[in-house]
Amino acid sequence: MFTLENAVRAWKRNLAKDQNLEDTYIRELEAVLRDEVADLVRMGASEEEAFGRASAAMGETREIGREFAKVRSPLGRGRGLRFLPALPASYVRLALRKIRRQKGYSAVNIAGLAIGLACCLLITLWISAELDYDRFHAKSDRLFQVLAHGTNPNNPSNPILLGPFLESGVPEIERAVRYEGLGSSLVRYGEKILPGVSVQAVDPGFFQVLSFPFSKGDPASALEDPSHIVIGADMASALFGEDDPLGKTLFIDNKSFLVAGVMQPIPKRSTVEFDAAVHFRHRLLALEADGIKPSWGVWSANTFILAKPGVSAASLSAKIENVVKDNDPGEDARLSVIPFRERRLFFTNIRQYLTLFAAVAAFILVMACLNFINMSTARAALKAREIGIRKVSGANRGNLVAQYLGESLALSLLASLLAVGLARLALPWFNTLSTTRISLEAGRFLPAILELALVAGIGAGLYPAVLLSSFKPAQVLRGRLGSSGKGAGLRRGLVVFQFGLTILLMIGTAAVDKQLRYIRNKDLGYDRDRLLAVSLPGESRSRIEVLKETLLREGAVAQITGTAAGMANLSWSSGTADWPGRNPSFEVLTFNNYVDWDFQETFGTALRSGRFFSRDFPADGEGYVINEAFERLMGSGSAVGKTLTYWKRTGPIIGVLKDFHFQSLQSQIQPLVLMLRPEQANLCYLKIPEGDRPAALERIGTVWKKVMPEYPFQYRFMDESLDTFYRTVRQTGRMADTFTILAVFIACLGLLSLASFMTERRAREVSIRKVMGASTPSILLLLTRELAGGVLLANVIAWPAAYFIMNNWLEQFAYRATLGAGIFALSAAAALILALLTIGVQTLKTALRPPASALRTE
Amino acid sequence: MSSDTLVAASTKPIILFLLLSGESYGYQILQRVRSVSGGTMKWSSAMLYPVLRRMEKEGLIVAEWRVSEENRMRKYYKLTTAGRRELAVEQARWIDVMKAMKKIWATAGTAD
Repeated sequence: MFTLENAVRAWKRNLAKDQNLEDTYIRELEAVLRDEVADLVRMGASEEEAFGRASAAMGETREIGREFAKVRSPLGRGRGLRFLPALPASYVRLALRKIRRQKGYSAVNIAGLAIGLACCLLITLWISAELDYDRFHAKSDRLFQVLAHGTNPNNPSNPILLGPFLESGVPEIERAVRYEGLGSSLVRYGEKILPGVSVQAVDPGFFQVLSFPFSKGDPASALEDPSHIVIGADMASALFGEDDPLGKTLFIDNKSFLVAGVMQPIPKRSTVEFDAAVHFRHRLLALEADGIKPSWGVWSANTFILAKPGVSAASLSAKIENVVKDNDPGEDARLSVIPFRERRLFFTNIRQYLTLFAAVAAFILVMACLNFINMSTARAALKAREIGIRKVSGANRGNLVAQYLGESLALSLLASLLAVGLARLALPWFNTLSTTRISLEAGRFLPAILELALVAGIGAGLYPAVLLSSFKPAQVLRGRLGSSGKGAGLRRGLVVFQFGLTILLMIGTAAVDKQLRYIRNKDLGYDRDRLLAVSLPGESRSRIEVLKETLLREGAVAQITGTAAGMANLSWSSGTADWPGRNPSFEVLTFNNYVDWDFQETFGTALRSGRFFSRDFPADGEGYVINEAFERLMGSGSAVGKTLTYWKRTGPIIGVLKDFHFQSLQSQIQPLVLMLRPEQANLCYLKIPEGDRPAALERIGTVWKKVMPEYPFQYRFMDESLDTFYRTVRQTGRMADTFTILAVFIACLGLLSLASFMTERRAREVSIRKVMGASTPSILLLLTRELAGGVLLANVIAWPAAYFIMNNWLEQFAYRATLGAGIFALSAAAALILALLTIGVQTLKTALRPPASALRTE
Repeated sequence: MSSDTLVAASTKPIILFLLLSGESYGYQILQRVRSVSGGTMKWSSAMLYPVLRRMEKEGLIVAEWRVSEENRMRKYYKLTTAGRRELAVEQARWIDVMKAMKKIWATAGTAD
């Protein structure tokens, strides 16, 4: 039977099929239809007739739709907007409502994401701070450092004559300045004495090329006069207090200097650090005093170049490549340049650590996102009904995707707020851990955290959004969406992947720790115990023999020797070694040091053949002692008795020492040449007697005061010096430990909430099993089997990846620990135990629950 | 110009004119157009509402849903100040056109 209401409803449904007809249009059309029907009824037509005429007058749905399409709102298609908010603010409101309703689930999601984001934020800021070195120089884009190939690649020394030659001879170069340390000096002003001051000899243009800000004096002219000195802020306050240092005279190793400039504190992120700078002429005078004439053969200075605008590193390198060869025909070294701001990346191995931690940050963020994806898809069955209803009510897929993405973005934004708080709290601890000083400046971290939150929000929300929105309403509402299917499979896959990453991090951390232990315990080929180094500043060098005699006579030391360069990480190198029968095309990089007669005994290095320098052989000053690596380089047979030309001086090889480590374990033992020059000693190594260390140090201190009253006794144990070389590795190890723990925590958090959800869903199954007689252990096994199996599978996937990555990392060390099966087994066990502990409580609770309670609820 | 185009061009000034005397709703506007034109112009709802929506967007009219005396929901349209200004412009434009057309017909006679 005809009723107007039914007819109008059917007519509206028909209109609604057209996507161009928004809800509000249909309501307006309905108003017109009803007005017209009322008019026609008033004029005597029946309702049915009136409706027929009025609806016919309105026209075909398609026609109406076409007209309305002309003014259709660009916001969203069709009537979906009626059911879903069009504005992000509404999504946020919806999301907040859900967070309130599902506190536990939201807390896990937000906490996991917040920890992940905080880790990422700290690591990102640390990486950007590490990449920020040497960028404060005003002309940093035109600054370059000269490198020589054919000599030690970690030692950027160039011929001492290179700087002036480049400045006057290469048109692309605006300035070229030399920079060379004069060692640790003793500075005196009146009664005040400052020991261990790092003084650099630089060309007068140095402060025009590099922008170290001055608080007093003119950077352009401060070092024009060779008797002038520029001092740092710390030195100025230590020596002069509140007084104006300008124009005051101070003494460095008994040479007087007039203070012509005071620098502000050197910026934190500078690879060039020094306490004071003097004219380069002082370096040349020091050489002359040692009887060395400045020549192209003297390699000791760093050369910094300020190129003319528009000159690239490549073109500059090509231009200067053969400068050394052209000026020193016997020398094969080729020159090139690197941008000054890449010094830190080039001269340290920080680049690989930055890459490593960028990967760690990504891992952690991915794990936090995986938690989110896991939980969202796990709850799909619960959400399915809601989605079904929305779809039936007219929501289209795009709206649903937008809504769920909105939800995940709202969660990630909340998490990012929490992350900023966490990062702020953790910052002092992180700075200690990473030995950097990063700060949470809003300008830096706000864009970073927002970007991270956006990536996390979209990354974590996209898949659940697409998956959930793909549900077929009819199936969902009939309850056909089970726990199986692609959602469940994916969930298991993600748990496996997440635990795979965790195990990877665990193995990585264990490998770093193992290598560190290996380094600490490695036999270096000499006796590093009880060995301490004391530097000999200024004039104190001339008194080394007196010091040695007194210390030995008074029994303060067991042995003592003087060397020119430190032996913990010897960097003096040369490419000019020659001997009869050497293949001329063979480039040789050798390391060298000046020593005295007591070197071998003090260090306890073993002799392979021949003998060491001896006071009984006055001609030993002409001879050389080499190591096995050098002997192997020279070919077969013993090298003893052969002649060697080194630094253009020919002499016999009198002994070969067994190989010992004089550099970090990252490099192979290199060829070494020792020359007898007791007068060149810049530092001495003391072997203290066995027993009470503090007492021994006190006795040495007393003798030192007697022999060198004006110089403070400054020493460093060899162990400590060696330790500093592995500081970065140690620091990496500590950081890796911490972030691994956090990653494991995030993974467990995800597992916990997943386990709680899964056990909850299986409560009825468990109850029925119990009623049927299943034991608690069998139920525990049932509930843990799936997740535990996933964790075990994760091991299988993680192991090859971890083996490959860590083997690669270990390859940077010439001497390294083996990975070993133990690390893998331990990581697997740790992951499994952690996973079982995480899900254990929840499963136990479910297994022990009285069956009636679950069945009643269901 | 096709007759459809001519009708389309005239809808806006006509609606503006009809709303000048006070607020009105869709069905009433359709009826008044029919009566003003002596039944020669028959607008459909499908044609009217998109135009109303566009004019709303242009700020020429404002609309409001209210319950009518017959206890039904109706959307009432009202002219804005901008709408009044627009009407004056449209009026001037159409008067110019009509003057020109009158002159043309006077000199050329009728088409047949």
